[in-house]
Amino acid sequence: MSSSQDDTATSGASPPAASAGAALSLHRQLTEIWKTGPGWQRLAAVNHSVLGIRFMVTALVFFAIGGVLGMLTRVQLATPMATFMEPGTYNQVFTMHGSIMLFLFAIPMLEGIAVYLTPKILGTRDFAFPRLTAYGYWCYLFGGTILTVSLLAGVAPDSGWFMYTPLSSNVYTPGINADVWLLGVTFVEISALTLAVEIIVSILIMRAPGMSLDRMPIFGWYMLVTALMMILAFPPLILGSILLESERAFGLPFFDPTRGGDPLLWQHLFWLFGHPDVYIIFLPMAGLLSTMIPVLAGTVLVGYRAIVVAIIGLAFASFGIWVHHMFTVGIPHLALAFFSTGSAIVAVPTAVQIFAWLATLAQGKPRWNVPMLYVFGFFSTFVMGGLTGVMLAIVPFDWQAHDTYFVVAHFHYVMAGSIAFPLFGALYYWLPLLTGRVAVYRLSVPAFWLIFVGFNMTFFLMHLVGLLGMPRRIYTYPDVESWTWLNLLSSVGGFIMTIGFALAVIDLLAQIRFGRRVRRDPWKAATLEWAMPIPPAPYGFASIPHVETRADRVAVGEVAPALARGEGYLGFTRHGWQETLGVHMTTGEPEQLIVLPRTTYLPLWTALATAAAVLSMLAKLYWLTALMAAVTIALFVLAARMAGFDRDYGRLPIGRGVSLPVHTEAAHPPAWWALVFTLVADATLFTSLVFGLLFLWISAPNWPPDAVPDTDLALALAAMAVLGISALFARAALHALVGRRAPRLWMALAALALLAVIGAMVVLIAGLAPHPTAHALGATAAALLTFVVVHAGIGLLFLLTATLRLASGHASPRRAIDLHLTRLWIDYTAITGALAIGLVLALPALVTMLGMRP
Amino acid sequence: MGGETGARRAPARQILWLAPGFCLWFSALVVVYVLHSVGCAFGWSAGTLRLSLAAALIIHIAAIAGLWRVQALRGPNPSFGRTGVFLHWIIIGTLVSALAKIVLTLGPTLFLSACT
Repeated sequence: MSSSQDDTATSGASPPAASAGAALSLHRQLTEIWKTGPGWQRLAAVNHSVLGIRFMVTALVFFAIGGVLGMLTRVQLATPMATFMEPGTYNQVFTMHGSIMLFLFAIPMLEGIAVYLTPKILGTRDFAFPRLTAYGYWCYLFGGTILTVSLLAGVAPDSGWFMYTPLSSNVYTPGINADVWLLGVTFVEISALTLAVEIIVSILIMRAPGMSLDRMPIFGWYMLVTALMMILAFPPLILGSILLESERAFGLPFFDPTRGGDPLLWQHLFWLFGHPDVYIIFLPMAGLLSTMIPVLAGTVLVGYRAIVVAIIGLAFASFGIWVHHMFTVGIPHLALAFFSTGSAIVAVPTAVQIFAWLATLAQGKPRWNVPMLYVFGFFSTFVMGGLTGVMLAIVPFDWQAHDTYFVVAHFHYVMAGSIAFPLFGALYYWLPLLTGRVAVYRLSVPAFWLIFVGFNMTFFLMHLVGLLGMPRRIYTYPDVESWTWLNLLSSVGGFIMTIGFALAVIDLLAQIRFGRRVRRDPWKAATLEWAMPIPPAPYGFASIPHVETRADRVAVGEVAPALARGEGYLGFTRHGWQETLGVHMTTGEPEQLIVLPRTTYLPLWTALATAAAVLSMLAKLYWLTALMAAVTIALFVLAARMAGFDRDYGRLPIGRGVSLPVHTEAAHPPAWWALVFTLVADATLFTSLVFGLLFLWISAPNWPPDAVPDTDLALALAAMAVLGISALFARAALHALVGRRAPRLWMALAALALLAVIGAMVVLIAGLAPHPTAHALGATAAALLTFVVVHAGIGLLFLLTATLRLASGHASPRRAIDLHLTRLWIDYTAITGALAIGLVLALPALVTMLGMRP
Repeated sequence: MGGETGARRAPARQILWLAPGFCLWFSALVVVYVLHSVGCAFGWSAGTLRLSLAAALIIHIAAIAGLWRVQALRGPNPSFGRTGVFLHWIIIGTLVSALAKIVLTLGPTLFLSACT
C-alpha cells in the first residue's frame, strides 16, 4: 500500500491537515463541497442533516394537525348527544386523526431521526442515496398535503384508519374519500419503502472502518432490523391498496363477495402490514432509549447481545400475530389459539429490553434530568399498554373488548408510550446536537407533568368506559350515567395533555432561540454523533474515524479534535467530490470509496411528476396519469444516466496508507445491494398476491365461477420460455461487456424478448375467462399477468438506461454495474413471471379441486 | 484510534444465519395455518388433520433443533475473530428462541378441536 502523502499529491487530493489552521482550511474546503446553497437552492438539498430535520419538522407539524383532530373528537364526545360535529364530519375527523398520526407522523418521524442520526452515529458522512432521500421527503410532503387538503375540502377518508371493505368499497363510499386514502397513503408508503432500502444498505456497508457488527452502536441494530421489517411489511399494504383502488376504479372484485371476492382479504393484507407497523414505530424509539439510558445513567448498556436477539425475535414474531386484530371474524378455534399464544409471547422480547434498561439504570447512577423524566414516562405508559395488550391477546377477553374503547385505550398507551415520550426525551437529549444550544428548562418539567397527567386522565378512563360497553368509532352516545362522566373527564384530560404538549414545544423553541451555547457533548456521551462540532457541519466528519472499540464507548473528547485535524480517513478533498467509505458487512474493513451526488433539483421534479400522476388518478384523468407516469419514469432514467463517472479511476488513496476502488468499479457497490433488498420487497408483494389468490380460492363465497378458466396454454408456455431466454440474453450481454466485447446485440435481443413477453401477457389478459370484472378469479389472474407486464417493462427501462450509459461512457468493462443490475432484475422477472403464469395455468385444476369439497 | 490487525474475516453470509431459526418458526405457522384451512375446507377427518398438523410441526421443530445442534457443535470459528464469536452467539440465541416459540405457540393448539 503506497504512502498517503505521495498518493494524495499525485491523485489531485489535498494533503491532510496538520494543525488548527489547517483544520480550519479543511473545514472550509469540505463545507464548500458539501453545503446546500441558500434561498431557492435549499429545494435542491440532498444532505442527510438538512433532510432529516425537514422530515422531523414536517412530522411534528402533522403531529399537531393530528392532535387537533383528536381534540375535536374529544370535544364531540365530552357530552352525550353533542352536536359539535355532524356524523359525516366526525367520521372524517377520526379517520384522519388515525391516518395522520400513523402514516404522516409516526413513520416519517422515525425516518427523519434515522436519516439525521444514523450516518453520524455510524461514523459516516451521509446515506447511500442522497437523491433518493430527497425524493422520499418530497413524496411524503406532497402525499401528506393531498391527505390534509382533502380534509379542508370535506372529502377526507371516512372509513376508519384501516379502511375496511365493504365500507370503503364503491357501494358504500361512492365519493373520492377512500381514493384519497388509497392513493395518498400508497404515495407516502412507497417513499417510506425507498428510504427503508437505503437505510439497510447504508447500515450494512457504509459504517466507519473498523466498526464490525459487534462494535456497532445498538441504535444501528435497531434501525437495521426496523428497515428490514419495513421492506417486508409495507408491500402487503401497497398491494391491498392497489387492489382496492382497482376495484373502485375498474370494477375488479377482489373484495366483493357477490363476485367471488372477500372483505376478509383486505383485513388480512392490511393487518399483515398493520401489526408489524406498530413494532416498526416502536423499535427505533427503543433504539433511542437504548442509546440515551446508559448515558443518563453514566454506565454502559447491559445486555447488548440479549437485546440484539430480542430485537430479531420481536421483528419476526410481529409478522406472525396479525390475526389478533381479527379475532371476531369467525376464524376457527385452533387458528385463534396459535395467534393468541403468539400475541402473548411477543411480550417476552419486549420485556427483555425493558429489563435490560432497568438493569442499566440499576448499574449506573441515573441523572434525574428532563430526558430521564420522559424515560420514566415511557416506562409507565408503555408497560401499562403492553399489559393491556396481553389481556387483549386472550381470545375470550378480546371478544368482549373488541371494538370498544378498551382497545382505543390500549393502543394509545402503547403508541404514546413508545413514540411520544421517547420522542420528547430524545428531542431534549439531541437538540444540543442539532442546534448547538442546551435547554433553558423553565417550562420543561411542568410541561412533562401536564402531558403525563393529562395523558393518563384521557386514556386510562377509556379502559373503564370500554369495559362498560362503549363502542369505538361512534360520533355520539346516549346519556348513560357511567359513560357520561368518564367521557367528560377524558376530554378534560385531553385538554390538559394538549396544554402540556404546547408548553413542551414552546420550551424546545425557547431552547433553539435562547439556549446556552455548547460546543461539544453536553451529556458526556460516548457515541460518534458527538465527535463533531455542533451544530454539525454539512459534511459531518472532517475525516472518517477508524473504530477500535464498541462505538458506544468512544472517547469523544480525544476523537473529535483528531478527526477535525484530518487524522482519520478522507481527511482531504479531491476533485470537489463528496466522498465517504464503503466497508465489509461483518468486519467493517474498508472496501470501496463511495462518491455521493451533490445538490440537484431532480428529486423535487420527480416527486412533483409523481404527485401529478397521483392527483390525476384521483381526478380519474387516466390519460394524464399515463403521461405523468412517463415523465416520472423519464426523470428516474435521467437520474440513473447521470450517476457515477465516465472514466475508470482504479484504486485511489483514502488516507492512512490505504487505497480503494471507487464504488463504480467495486464488486458490490451500494446500488447492487439496493436492488437486492428492493427485490425482497417486491417478492413480498408477489407472495402477498399469490396468498390473495389462494385465500379467495379456499374461503371466498361464490366459488367456483360460472365461466371455466381457459388460458391459451401454448401462448403461456411460450411466454415462460421467452422470459427464460431474455434472462440468458441479459447474462450474455453482461459477459460480453466484462469480456470487453460489444454487448449491444445481446441487449437488443433481451429487449425484444421482453417486448414479446409483454405482448403475450396483453393477449392472455384480453382472453381471460371469467372476465376480470365478472369474478375475482379473473381479477386475480389479471393481476398476476399484469405483474409480469410491469416487471418486463421495468426490465426494458434497465436496458434503456444501460444503453444510454454505455453511449455516454458511464459503463465500461470495469464499471459494469448497469448490466449486473439488469441481469439481476431480468432473472427475478423470469422466476416470478414463470410462477405467475404457472399459477394462472393451474387455475382450471384449482377450480376442479373445489368440486371435491364436501 | 489506530489501524486494524489482519484476521481472517467473518464472511458476510454469516449474517444470513440470523434468519433461519425464526424463518422456520414462521414457515411452521404458515404451513399449520394453510393445512388447517385446506383440511377443514376439504373435509379431512379430525385424525388426518391433526396428524398432518403434528407432522408439519415435528418437521419444523426437528429442523430448528438440527440447526441448533450444528451451530453448537461447530462452535464459533476462532479464525473469524471477535465478530465471528459475537455472531455465533446471536445465531444460537435466535435458534433457541425460535425453538421455544414454535413449541409454545403451536404445540398446545394441536390438542384443540379442529375446524370449529
